[in-house]
Amino acid sequence: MKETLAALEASAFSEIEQATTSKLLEGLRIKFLGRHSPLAAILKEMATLPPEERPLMGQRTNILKEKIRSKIDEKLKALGGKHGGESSSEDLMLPGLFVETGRRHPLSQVIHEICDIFLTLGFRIVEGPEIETEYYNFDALNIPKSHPSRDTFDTFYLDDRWLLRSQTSTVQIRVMEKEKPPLRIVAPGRVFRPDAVDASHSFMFHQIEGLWVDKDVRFSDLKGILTLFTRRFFGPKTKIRFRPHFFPFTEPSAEVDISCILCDGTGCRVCSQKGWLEVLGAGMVHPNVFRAVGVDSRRFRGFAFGMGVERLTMLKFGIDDIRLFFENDLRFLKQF
Amino acid sequence: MKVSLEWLKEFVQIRLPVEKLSERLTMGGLEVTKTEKKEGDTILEIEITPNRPDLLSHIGIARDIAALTGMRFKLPSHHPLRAHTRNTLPLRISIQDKKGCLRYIGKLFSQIEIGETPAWMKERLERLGFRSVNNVVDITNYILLEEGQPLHAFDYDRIEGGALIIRSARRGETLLTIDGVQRVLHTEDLVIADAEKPVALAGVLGGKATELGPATKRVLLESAYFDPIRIRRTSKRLGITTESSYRFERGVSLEGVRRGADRASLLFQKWAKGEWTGPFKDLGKKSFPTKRISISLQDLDRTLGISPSVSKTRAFLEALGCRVNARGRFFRITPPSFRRDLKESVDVAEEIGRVLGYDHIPVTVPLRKRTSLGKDIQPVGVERVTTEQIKDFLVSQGLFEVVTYSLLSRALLKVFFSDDTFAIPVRNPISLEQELMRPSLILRLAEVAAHNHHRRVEKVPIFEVGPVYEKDGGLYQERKKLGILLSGEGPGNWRTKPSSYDFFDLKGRCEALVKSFDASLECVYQKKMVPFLSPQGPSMALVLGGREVGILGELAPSVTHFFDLKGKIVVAELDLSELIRAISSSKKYAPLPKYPSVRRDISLIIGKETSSEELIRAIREEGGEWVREVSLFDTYSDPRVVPAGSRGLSYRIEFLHPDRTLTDEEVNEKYQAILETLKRRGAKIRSN
Repeated sequence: MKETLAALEASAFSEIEQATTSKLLEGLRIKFLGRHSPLAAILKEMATLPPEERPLMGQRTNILKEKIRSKIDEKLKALGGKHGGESSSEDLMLPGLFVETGRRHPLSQVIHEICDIFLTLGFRIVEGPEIETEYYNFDALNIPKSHPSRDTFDTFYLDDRWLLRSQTSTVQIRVMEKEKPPLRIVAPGRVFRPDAVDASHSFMFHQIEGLWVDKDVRFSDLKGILTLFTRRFFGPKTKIRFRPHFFPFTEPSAEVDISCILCDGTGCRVCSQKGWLEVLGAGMVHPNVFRAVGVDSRRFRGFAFGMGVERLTMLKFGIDDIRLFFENDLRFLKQF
Repeated sequence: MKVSLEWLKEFVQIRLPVEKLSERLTMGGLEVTKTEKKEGDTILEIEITPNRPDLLSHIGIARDIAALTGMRFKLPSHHPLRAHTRNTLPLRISIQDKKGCLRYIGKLFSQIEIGETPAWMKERLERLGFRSVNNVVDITNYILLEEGQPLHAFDYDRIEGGALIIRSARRGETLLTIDGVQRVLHTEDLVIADAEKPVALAGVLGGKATELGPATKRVLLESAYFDPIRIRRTSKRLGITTESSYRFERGVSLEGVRRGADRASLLFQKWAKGEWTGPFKDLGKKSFPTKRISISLQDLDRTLGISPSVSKTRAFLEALGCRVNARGRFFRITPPSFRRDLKESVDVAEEIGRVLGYDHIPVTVPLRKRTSLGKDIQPVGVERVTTEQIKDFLVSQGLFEVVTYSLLSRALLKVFFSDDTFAIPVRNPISLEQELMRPSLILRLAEVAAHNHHRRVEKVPIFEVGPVYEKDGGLYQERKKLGILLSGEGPGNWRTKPSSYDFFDLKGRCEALVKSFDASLECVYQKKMVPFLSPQGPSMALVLGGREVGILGELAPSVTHFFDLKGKIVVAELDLSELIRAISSSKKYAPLPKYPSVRRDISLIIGKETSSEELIRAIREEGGEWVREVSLFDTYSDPRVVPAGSRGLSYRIEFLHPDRTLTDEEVNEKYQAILETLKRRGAKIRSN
């Protein structure tokens, strides 16, 4: 009987091994493990054995049964894919189902990103009113009345007293009036200038103003902070340069250029062959600004900077027409 | 400002090639925007900032080049030949308006021969875009370009009475200017008048009557300092900017007035055969009081983060024309008269930084010392964080954020509001699009929908967070709003067919937004008339925590017709700070239920006039505190079961007791009571 079991094992294993489909395997399962299988017959014959041999034989028979069963399962698994494919009728290549999401406006994304960078540098985000007075938009910022430097900040007026701010620098004054230094703020917001609309001009656009006032901040720190910022925003390889310039509310003042992000500084259409792109205005807070808000300019120094969000966004995404931002064509918005 | 490289080389040695020179100038604050080769010369176009009127001349730019490149600078000769005769002709000059004119030099030349300008001078002028007129006029322009001092030449014999008066124009006076325009003067205008009438608009334009002609024999030369503000106002009012007015409004140098007159005299004698016959009048102030600025190397370091050596600092400042008195690390500086922009130590610091080169200033990061937790360390405002979360939530719901103009046309406003007087007008719009401040976000949102529809993008789920503007009791108010517009086909896919966006999609988005912040906050709606919402369709106010937060509904047909929009357009406009206030309530933990809840469904048919909200309220009232949740899960209108004027509604009610398991009998009792209540309200119960 022992021999019978060994022979049975050999033939069952070889047949299972040769089976190529799950159907054949199911047939072998019936053949070797079913009610009319040799194993079933052996178990029936067990009664004829002497009682002391029965347990051992029973055990052996059962072990073989298990072996055959797991061999079949193993083989079935190996045939695997076919098994699943046979029972499913669905086309799994149909597109997955998801809730279509919208997008943040590119300007909103960039404002968020820039503010985030300055948040990590310890700046606080503040906002100020868009409807302002001449005092906040000009006088307190050391922009004299009837001076050509006002031309750069051409302004919409509502009446004799109120105007639409032409720059976010107004927020500097609002904050310094209320709070004493040390201060570190960034102020994003809308600004307005009476310009005719074309591919590069808009009568409304966005700026972000930054201000750091403390006992010990210098022009070299301004260079440091803006270098960190431009590397984060435009990429670690961005080169930056500071050019002397004039702004009424800062002295010394600088215009800040970055190496052209398109041509890497070799000169192209975007940078007008200069290799550099002007991206920010900055400088040390002018003592007259401090005087206007009652900050002691001998104790405190500060730097301020401002940037145009539309310009930065256009550079970042390669957009060539400012009007696209305000038309809000969904085919445009879907790209960001 | 355009300058000629060849001309600059008369005053300063330039060894650098043009590209290097341009770069050095740009990095020194004189941005070279263009270079152009012209007839053996190079013309540089340099952007001059408004604080540096001294750079509006070749001499000024040459001086800066000298300082920036360390080369020597020399001034041209300006000592005129002596007068031949004296005081033979009458000339009376008086400054009546002493504020308008600080200095006035009048110098008379006789035996002038008006004629051709020497070729070299003509070429220089023409290369810089000046049209050659005649030798005398060309010389005045030449001096303007060289010295930066505007000059004017009158035909002496056409000046009535040999007298010049510098005064304000009188009401009603007119002047025919050299451009042939008869101009009515304003009492703010500063004029040069003879005994009878104005002969020139000071600093802006000359008069036709005293213009030089081929027969002119005697020339009266004017060199003056006019008040920048006066010149600017006249120039702005007339919309005319001339080479002269441009320089006067930025401020010429008081000393330069004399230099200009002297240089011109020399050239008149040389190139127009002009004899200076006197008289020579020089009226007014000769100079501004000198200023002294004290600065130390430590100040430089505190501002710039670097300080050059004492000798370098001195050399830089002297090259710029300053007198420098150094004592140890302290300097006393007297800026030159033409540098009125140097007023205090930071101005000097900028000059040092500029000549040194900003790229030589180190790049540092401010070290934060340990300070007490003061104002410097503050969290980002709650409002800002929540606004960002609201935007992100709406985006996750399939909406696109848009940004639209704060200004709009009256025509657009009238589409939405019959009363157009409440919006704030802009006083100086330059296009119709900028006439008014927007009183609502919906106007531009509808325009965006139209823009997209007309380009065959018909699915437009959008929102904007932005300000609206109102005048309230004489005060201007800015309020941030959240505007939502849904139009076209809603979300869908191959399994679930999409349907058009309607009021319930909008309501659902608003509710989901509220619930995502505070699941326990109930959205309450009240009927409300809104000017641009359809009076027949839904037009509601959303109330949160007992306060009205905003409106929602369907755009009125008059609006959709105007934009030629197809289908229903639903919009909402919520006040952002009210919304944030409502959804920012602090959350409190409630213990989880310890006992199982029991569910019962009710399906009923009821007249359309009864709102679902009313029924839910009735169920809750009757059910009492055991009713934990009532939700509508189906509506139906199959005419075989639902009679006309009625509708079918199915609710699921969840019962829960906090302290024990409810028995079937208890629930059934409550349930029956609820059914009775609903029946009393006219509901027909379909099944239970």
